[in-house]
Amino acid sequence: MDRNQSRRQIAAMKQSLFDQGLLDEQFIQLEELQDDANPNFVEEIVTLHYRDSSRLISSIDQALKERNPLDFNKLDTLMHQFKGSSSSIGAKKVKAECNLFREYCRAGNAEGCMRSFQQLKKEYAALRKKLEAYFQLARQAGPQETACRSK
Amino acid sequence: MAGTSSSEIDIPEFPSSLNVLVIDTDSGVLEYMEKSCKEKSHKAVICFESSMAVEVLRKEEIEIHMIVMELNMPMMNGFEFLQFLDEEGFDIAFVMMSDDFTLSTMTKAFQLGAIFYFIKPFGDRLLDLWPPFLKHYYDRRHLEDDETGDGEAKADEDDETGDGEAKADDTLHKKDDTFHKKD
Repeated sequence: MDRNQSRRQIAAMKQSLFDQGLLDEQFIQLEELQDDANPNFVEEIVTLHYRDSSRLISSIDQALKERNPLDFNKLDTLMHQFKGSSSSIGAKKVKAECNLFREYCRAGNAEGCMRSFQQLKKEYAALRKKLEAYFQLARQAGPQETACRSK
Repeated sequence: MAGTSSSEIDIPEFPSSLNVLVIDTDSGVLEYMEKSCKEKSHKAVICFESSMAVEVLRKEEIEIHMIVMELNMPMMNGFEFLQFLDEEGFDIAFVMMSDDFTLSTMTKAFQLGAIFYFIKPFGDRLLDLWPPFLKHYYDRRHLEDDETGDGEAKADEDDETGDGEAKADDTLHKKDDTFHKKD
């Protein structure tokens, strides 16, 4: 009954992540690459993403503080990298915020950039928290539980 | 019956139109559930207090097929309600809902008998998930009934075909696949 319970807990978390539009197809692709040889593959990729992306967030934060005037090119470049990293784990909502931010950059809209970035950080933190809980569940359940067996 | 050895266990279909008892203090959630149920041809019986839900169950005027309940209800919370169901012998599919997705909370809900857990806030496709895990719930329930000898004829069929257990397991896998395919 425990195994069954774990499966349902994981399914509940996953359902929430997709249902809330936080993750997209890319995350499923990652799970399909996970197997017995690489049982923690997805968690490893996600951990790497959060390491990279937190550095980018700091850089963007810093660049937004240098307001005389804002260097929109630099911001756009940083956000381009951040978006790429987010895409790699299927972070759907975060990615959407990245796109919005870049539009504001191209329009030279400083206020828009600031607002959008605040929202982005919120989405980023929310997803991170959920994914941490998800991987905690997965680790508890054992390697079989999150591997996608759609084949 | 001898001679009617089909390869499938004769599991009664769970009702496609469900009576769902929804318990939450949040009128937004109650409205959403009511609307969603209607779209899927289910009937929602809404309660904004746990005591109302207890009444509905005890009165037995309407057969409840599923309960969806917010964990943090004031007088009787989700955990206590599950215990109440157990004590009074109500064997009804129960889904917990909450914005609390901590491991300990979710584990406790499942341990006390919840079959699923909806994490708030909801997206649009919440109710798409109902059929697969509900079917699984009903399949397992009938399998357990067979094992305890409630369905003797069915038990014989199990022996003949030998794949009763496998069927239940396939249901589990199918549930996962359905979930993945949707996304």
